[in-house]
Amino acid sequence: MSSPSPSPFSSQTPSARSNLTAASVERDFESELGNTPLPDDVDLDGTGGAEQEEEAVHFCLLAEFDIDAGATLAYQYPYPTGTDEHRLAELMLPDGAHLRPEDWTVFYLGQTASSAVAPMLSHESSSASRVSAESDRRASMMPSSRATRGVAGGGLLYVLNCVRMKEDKKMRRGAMVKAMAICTPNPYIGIYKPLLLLALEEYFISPSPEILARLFDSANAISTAGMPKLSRYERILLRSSDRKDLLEEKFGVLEPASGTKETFDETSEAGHNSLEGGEGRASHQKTMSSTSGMRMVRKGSANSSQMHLATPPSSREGRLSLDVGYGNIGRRRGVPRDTHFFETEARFKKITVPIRIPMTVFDEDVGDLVQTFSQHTAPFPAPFHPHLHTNGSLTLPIILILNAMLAHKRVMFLGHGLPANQVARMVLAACALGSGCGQVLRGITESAFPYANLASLDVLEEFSGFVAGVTNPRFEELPMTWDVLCNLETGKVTVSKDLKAGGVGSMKSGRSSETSLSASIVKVEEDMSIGTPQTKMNSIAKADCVDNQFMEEILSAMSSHYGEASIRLRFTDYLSRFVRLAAYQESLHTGTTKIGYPTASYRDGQLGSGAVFADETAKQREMWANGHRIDAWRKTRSYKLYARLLTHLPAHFGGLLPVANGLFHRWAGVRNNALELFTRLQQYPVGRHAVASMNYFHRKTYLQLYGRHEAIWQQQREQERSRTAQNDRVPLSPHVHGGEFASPGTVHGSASTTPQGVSRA
Amino acid sequence: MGGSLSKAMGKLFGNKEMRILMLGLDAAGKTTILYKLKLNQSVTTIPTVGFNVETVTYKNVKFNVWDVGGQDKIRPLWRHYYTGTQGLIFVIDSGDRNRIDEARHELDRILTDREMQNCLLMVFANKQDLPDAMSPAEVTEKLGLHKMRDRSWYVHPSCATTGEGLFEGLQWLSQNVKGTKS
Repeated sequence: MSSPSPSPFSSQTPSARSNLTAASVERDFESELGNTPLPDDVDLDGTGGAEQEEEAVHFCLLAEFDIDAGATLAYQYPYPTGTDEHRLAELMLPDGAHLRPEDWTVFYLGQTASSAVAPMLSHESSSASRVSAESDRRASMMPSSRATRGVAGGGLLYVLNCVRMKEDKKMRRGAMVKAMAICTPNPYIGIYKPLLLLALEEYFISPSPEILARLFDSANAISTAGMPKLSRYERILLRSSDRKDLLEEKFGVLEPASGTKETFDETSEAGHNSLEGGEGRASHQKTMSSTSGMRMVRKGSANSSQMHLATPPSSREGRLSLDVGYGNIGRRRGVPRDTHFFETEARFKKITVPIRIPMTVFDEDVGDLVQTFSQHTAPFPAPFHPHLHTNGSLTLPIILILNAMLAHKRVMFLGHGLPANQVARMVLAACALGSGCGQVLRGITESAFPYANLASLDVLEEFSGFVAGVTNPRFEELPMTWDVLCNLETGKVTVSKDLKAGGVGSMKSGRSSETSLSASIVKVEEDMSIGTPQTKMNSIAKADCVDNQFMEEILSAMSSHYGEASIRLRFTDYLSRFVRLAAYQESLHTGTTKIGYPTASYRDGQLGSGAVFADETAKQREMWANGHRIDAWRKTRSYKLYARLLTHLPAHFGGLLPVANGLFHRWAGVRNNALELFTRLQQYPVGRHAVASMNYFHRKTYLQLYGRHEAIWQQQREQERSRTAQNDRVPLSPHVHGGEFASPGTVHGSASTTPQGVSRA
Repeated sequence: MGGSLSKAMGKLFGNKEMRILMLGLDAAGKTTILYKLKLNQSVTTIPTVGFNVETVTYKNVKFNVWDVGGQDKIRPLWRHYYTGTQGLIFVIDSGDRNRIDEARHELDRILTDREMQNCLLMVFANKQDLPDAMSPAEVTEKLGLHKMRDRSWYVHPSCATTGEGLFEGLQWLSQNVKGTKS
């Protein structure tokens, strides 16, 4: 388990060093800081608005397991966070850190007052005044003023931490365990992995607080010039598409003539990293190891080379015509091979590391999570909790986890003997799952603890619901600390015996709380002459419950190797459907709903809206499966956030297929409307992609119709001109003409073919 | 389900389970004891970050032994392991006369916790191979065990690297545990 340390360490022992207090390093390196340009912040909230300048990294931390004192926070840079130092150290030095050469933990600051950055010490940015001026507007949607980042209620600081154990026989007690962390407001913390590895390695060689300052500077110097600010919808589109050129036109700036560089293989420094992290299977891990195993670029010779590290240039699809209108000085940089990432680089000392910033969030493999919790198929034992066991004993583990998250219960993932990073990944995947892959529901991250341990117990106790990852099996023996325990080794999901089945129970709440709908659920079902009394419901399990059918579909999709994207989409749809059903139930029983359109069926020439059911039986089945879940969800913060979100955003963008089918409609009016809609869509680059990705027949029909209609319109226009009569038809945008359409000739789904429309962006 | 079945079987065949918590100052030899018991091998250990937990079966008794890191700053975490503990193994570095008072102080603190009221106390006077090691009697005296009422306690000399004395300790624990309440 040991990797031989490449160089002898300084004879100074950690204990000797720990006498230096963090305070003594506080502001020693201010001068260096002065030259660091502050990169533009990425507006991940998608709210647009004024650009704010902020450091990408707020704090760098160093912790070590002092062989005499225990977990110790040795240094904080640029100044102390104000958070409890011992708790930070415990989170940075996870249980079992002595057992493996390398591990990673993820945790957040600012979830509660006790895990927050001290307000007076929180980062004051140069644009503090602007921030406050704007904060009122922004706070209504998402608190993101940086002056309060990491302060409870002021937005989270995300912490990525790398911990390493190095054995050294010359040391007293034979080993050193040290950890280094980066605290950033950016949720894409993964990009800092290579920098952390380099800096920590450096720290093992020469333990000096100066390394933290250097790490801080390099992380903050990562250029995001040219990185697009995508709106929420753009990100959702990007997320659900595998196209590598989507939204391409948003990327890129002119490349300043870059210096001369040389590539070389970082065998000595990167080699061990790529091997030691090897326990993971998920894509997250893959990205990680490919990052650390990547060739580094070093200053000193010809040709800039930051673009072609991970994939060979041949995989770049021929899209080079984008420099139109940007002049010819230098080449256009930042149009990535895959628009799901923004490519940039970081420099640490003399080493340049390529960085790929993901343009979408929640990149965790949901598939892995589903797989892990589908192996254990034994039915759940009684007692049943109506909010969790929505299908009695036959509730599937994944559905139970989802229910628990929707009901804001305390969900704990336990991976005894597993590295903390695997547990953390599961938690993040669960967050992705529970939020509809970041597209449907919000607010889950605020109560997520990707890595937690016994030292976090008092913080966890402040939450009525959370998702946490632990490696200590002691938690299994402390059922008062969780409601649902998910064992990563066995795939077994356990509901705490302390969770009273009737406690939060719908029976009582139906009467006591005016917002609860559960009492009326029963009524609904009686109305439908199914008559499932609440009490019986708990023990009734239906094998053909819609949830079970849904999971069957997921599992069969996974076994037939559908991609992760497809699995995610299915869960997103599932949650969207859930919200729609919730809206239906809400409007059915309270008359109004804050979270959706009122359901109206299609009749008398009126278009319907809201939830649609195939028939009464399907409706009963779906409402039966969802009733309690909806009831539970309506009491949570996530529900409130959703209701608020809807006031800001228009309805969900669906696929084009249903509209495209309109092209075949037997009524000319429908065909014309569809045609017009498509013609409009063509005016937007994204729309062009969407149209171009329709199947051949749709496109062919579209073009035929278009050709025919253009002729007709032409005729009409001439007639009009002759009559000088005004036609009230909406004129087509003049710059859209036949040549710009994705022509059927380019079809046949070969991804490498550049659709004609693209180069016109 | 399976658990209750095996417990029933356990009652039939007379084997029991015991939850053991092993504490002590840092570098007392807790992890070495744990792995000597588990593997019957002397392993080179490094400081424990968090805990180690192993199951050791000795004479039909399944010992669930939790070994928790002992450095000063992480001792406050010990309390999270108390509930359900039937036997406390407190490990003393018999060569470290300077810190025996610190050890006594920590032991007192553990034993005053309500959760630890009914648990057995087994003290290993470890590192007996050291030239100037304190004898079990000396350790007993310095820990003030004679003043202890209402608790069964036992001090046994041990040497974790050779394994001497370790199983005698387990023997005492299994003989003195009350009932099979686990």
